[in-house]
Amino acid sequence: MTPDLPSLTLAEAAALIAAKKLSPVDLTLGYLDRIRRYDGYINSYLLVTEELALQQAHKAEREITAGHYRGPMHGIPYALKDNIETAGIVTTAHSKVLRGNIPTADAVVADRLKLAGGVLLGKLACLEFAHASPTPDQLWPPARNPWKTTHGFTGGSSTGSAAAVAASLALCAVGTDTGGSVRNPAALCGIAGLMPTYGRVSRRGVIPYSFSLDHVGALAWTARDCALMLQAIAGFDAEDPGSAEVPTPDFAAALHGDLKGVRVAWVRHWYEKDTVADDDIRSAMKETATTLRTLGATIEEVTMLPLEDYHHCKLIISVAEFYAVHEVEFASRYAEYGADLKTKTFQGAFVSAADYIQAQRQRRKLAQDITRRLAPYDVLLTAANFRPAPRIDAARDSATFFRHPNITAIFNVTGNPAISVCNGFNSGGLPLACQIAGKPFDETTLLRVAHAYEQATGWHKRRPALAEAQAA
Amino acid sequence: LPSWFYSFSFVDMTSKDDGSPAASSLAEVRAAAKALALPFTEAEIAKIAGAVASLRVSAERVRLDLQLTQEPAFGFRHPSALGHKR
Repeated sequence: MTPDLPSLTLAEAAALIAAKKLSPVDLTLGYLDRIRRYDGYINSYLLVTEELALQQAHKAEREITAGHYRGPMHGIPYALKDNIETAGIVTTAHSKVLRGNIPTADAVVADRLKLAGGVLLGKLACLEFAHASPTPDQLWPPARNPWKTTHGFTGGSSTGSAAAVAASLALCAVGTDTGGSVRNPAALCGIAGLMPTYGRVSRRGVIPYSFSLDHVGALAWTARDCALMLQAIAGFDAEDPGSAEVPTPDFAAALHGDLKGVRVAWVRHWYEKDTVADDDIRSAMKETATTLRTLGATIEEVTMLPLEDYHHCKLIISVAEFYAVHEVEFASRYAEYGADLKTKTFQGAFVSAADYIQAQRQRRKLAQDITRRLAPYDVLLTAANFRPAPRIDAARDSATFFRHPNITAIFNVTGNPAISVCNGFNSGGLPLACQIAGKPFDETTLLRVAHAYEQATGWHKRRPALAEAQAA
Repeated sequence: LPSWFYSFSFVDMTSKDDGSPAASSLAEVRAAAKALALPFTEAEIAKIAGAVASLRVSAERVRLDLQLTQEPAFGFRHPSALGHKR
């Protein structure tokens, strides 16, 4: 028996598989069928690894039947953003520069999911090297937002990761987040997107954007699903210099009950004053705070440093580090870079060593400041973006970027964990989202708050109609 | 640019109120592109120069309130201390 795939969550599938009521092979075949039927409209996959997926699904089924259940990712069809290396499988970061690049080893996150028994459906679209806007000179078209497949953009840079989950072309996906690249597309596509604490998940084998800001994160329908994914991918890696040697808790253990005793710092000025978000978003945020209060949480409005302080710091660091990564190839393989990435990359050549070091010094102060201000609270609540999904054809002119802050990069600068979860829909049917951030290495609490919110509201149960695709 | 443009990463970045980059940035970018034999068009050079001018604003801002006695935010750690095998 294969359940209705669009309404299925990772946690539900895992429970059915563990109870031997759902076959990983049937589940995988179901997703492969959906990919064939719908991905021509969504463009979320760069490569579908059908043969491998079926091998892994059969193996999982044999193991589970024999009583060797590995855990909640066992037999679960998932997909990886294409900047995550996979042994023997082309990994391009959505760029001509890496066309035909076949890594010899898996990234740590890919390896961990393999060990957990996951079923790899394929490699997912992203922005070129997780940085550039879609341009017509790229090898693949941009992923489309399943809530508006005709022209809706997914946000970036984990475009395919968010689109594939939202279109139910995978149960969950892995993305990377340097300034919001997991949380922003998750927010625009109506799913949950978790960026764990800096150091929680190894980046070894992930094609870097910005060494000191990059995180690996999880995208799925719910906070619980993200917790199950994090359980599989978290852990110390001595070969990632940013990796932290900290215990890995049971992230899903606290996902129950109300929020009595939970103290929430509600930061409104970032989206009401520093940058003014759409009315729909501000209204949804008020309702979110009310819901959390109803669940028993204490909500206090808190003032943090202005959004711009984080923005300037993040900008200098990311631009400089990106250029450092690409300096050699950019000079020798200029023609293979996309039009947008050409101009974005070269900006980094004009950041001085002193600029970069001062930004890193300032960053420490910003991290210390948020730690101090957040100390009396358990989590921080704010918006996940300022607008719902834009038109895809308008997301082009980005040769210059980042003059204005975004609201997700704050936590890349400070390293705190954060999750975006759906908190409503605008009148056009596009998803809205809030962001819940936590203290370093306390993903458990923010997941608990996000889970309780989801259970109270049910926004996570809505699914896109894929009307255009179905009509075709 | 439409207002949604400012909701995430893809935003305009120009150096002056009229949207044009500073002349010094233009000349600097043009010279650097020439030195590296990168065939940017003049329009692309103007975009990059606008961005560079804004980066300079950011570079000034990150220096605010930094004191001589404050330690750098990061430093070298020997690979063996991290358990590197390679």
